[in-house]
Amino acid sequence: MSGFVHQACVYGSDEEFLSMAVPFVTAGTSAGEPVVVVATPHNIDLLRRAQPDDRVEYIDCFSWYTAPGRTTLNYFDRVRSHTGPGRMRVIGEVVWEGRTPAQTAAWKRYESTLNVTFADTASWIVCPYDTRTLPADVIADARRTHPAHLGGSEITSCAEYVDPGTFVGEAVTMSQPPADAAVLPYALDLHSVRRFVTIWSTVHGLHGERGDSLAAAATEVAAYLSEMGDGRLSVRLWSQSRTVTCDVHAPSVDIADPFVGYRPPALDPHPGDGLWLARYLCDHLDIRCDSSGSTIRLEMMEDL
Amino acid sequence: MARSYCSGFAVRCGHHACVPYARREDLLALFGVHLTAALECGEKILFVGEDAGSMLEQLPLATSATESLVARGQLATRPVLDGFGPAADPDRVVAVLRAEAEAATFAGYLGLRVCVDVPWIESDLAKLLACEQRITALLADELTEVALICHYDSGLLEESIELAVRAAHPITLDAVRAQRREPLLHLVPLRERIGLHVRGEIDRTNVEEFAAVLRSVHRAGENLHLELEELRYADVAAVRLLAQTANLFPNGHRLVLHSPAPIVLTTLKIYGWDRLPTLVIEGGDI
Repeated sequence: MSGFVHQACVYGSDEEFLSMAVPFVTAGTSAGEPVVVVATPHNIDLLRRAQPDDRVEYIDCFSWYTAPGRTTLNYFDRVRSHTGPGRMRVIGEVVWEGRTPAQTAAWKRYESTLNVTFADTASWIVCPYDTRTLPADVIADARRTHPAHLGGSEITSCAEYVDPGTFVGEAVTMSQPPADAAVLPYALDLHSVRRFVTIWSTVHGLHGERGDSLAAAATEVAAYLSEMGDGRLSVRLWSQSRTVTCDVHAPSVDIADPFVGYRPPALDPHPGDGLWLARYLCDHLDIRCDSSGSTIRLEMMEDL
Repeated sequence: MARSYCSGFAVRCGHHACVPYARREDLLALFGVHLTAALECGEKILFVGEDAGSMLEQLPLATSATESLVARGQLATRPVLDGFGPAADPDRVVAVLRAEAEAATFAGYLGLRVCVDVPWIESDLAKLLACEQRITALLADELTEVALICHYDSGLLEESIELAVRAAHPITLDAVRAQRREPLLHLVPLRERIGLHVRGEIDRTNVEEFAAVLRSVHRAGENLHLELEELRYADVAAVRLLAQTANLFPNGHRLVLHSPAPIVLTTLKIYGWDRLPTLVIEGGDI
């Protein structure tokens, strides 16, 4: 059995969670498939007690779901390493608590994007949604971002499922950069972008590798936008609410593919596959296209 | 110790440089370099010269870009820097530079780059040189947030005077070579094994140069070693080149990367290229 399966499990009690998780995990380990459970400490504890099994890897979801791009690529790295028979099985419980509206929207897009990124992988990902704690819109959108639902051992298709291109392609709202943002109104070359971002990142408290990461992400974004357009681009960088934001804007570019940087790269280059790195390095990446061109926004939390 | 050459992009706050120029177009191009360098470094830039305003209009930039820089106060022009030039007055120049630097810092800029097309009259030479020397000391010790770049029309200078002008500055830039960036990448063949010591940065703008040298040192049937501890940055295109190179190696032969930077290791890992059997990493922590 191979191919990608992505299911939501909307549950409202510990028993309901276990009625899905126990058979899912047991079937995997019995078949010799790798099984990873990324869930709340409470659910990990429940499952461990109900079905002790050393072959299952447990990860606390609060340390795993740090940033949509990074989490996607960390999952992908694990799935890619699975070359054996069958599928790699994952229970992945996204963290929704404490997210801003923009972050919540980004994690919903993450769920939808998995359908594209993992399309050619041998993996089975089940995402539990706890109706006792999660807002109604998060639960409702789970049925729009997962092709099917797994309740107990019963699979039903989600009638509300929306094509990822439609779901992710919905226009992202993006605030205007503040008037006092640092500006690089034109970039002589990629080094210009890197130098500008490195210097201003440091000023705003992103030191060492964090600043280097933002500069590297901005370089990939600038390279992509230059390649897609006439080379004109501008960069703005500022800090607000302990987040350093860097906008790279190209007036002549219209990005048609909302999954740019989310399609697994190959050894041969493909336009935009540098964004695979940018999505991994940054805490957040948004793309907005309008009549003024395209803006790719990168965000990094300031160092504590 | 006076340096005979560096790029205009390498001038930093605290530097006091002179650029003797022969052609007006070189001065214009240099102003463009100084503007770019200042913007990259988050500095305010002040162009000083009789026709600084009109030169700005001749720069190959969108008018809207320069207008918005002027409007936000990051870019300014002055016909003269008070006290600098004919009837030079060192105290006056120092006071003016201090005030300009203070205003730039207050506005949130990370420094002030002052580019002067120095007007001069031979009779004022001694005063002017005294002024330059005073500025050198000032920038080195006190006004370390200011870079001053003095452009002299060498057509107006006798050779002996030009030598004196150069001697009054710790850095002299060649007007043509200063328009280029200093090379980002330095490649040196290894002596004891086949490979390269790689220093600097590689991105899509110089990856072809790197590829060509890589091809030239590669010997079929031999491992290829790259010493990367001084490679500060490599973009995805550069890391992909490493992976593609390794992928072409026959079994039993390896591309060995010694001490790659975290960004190289991260890229190899998340693109899955660290799994290539012909690519070996020695040293370097992710």
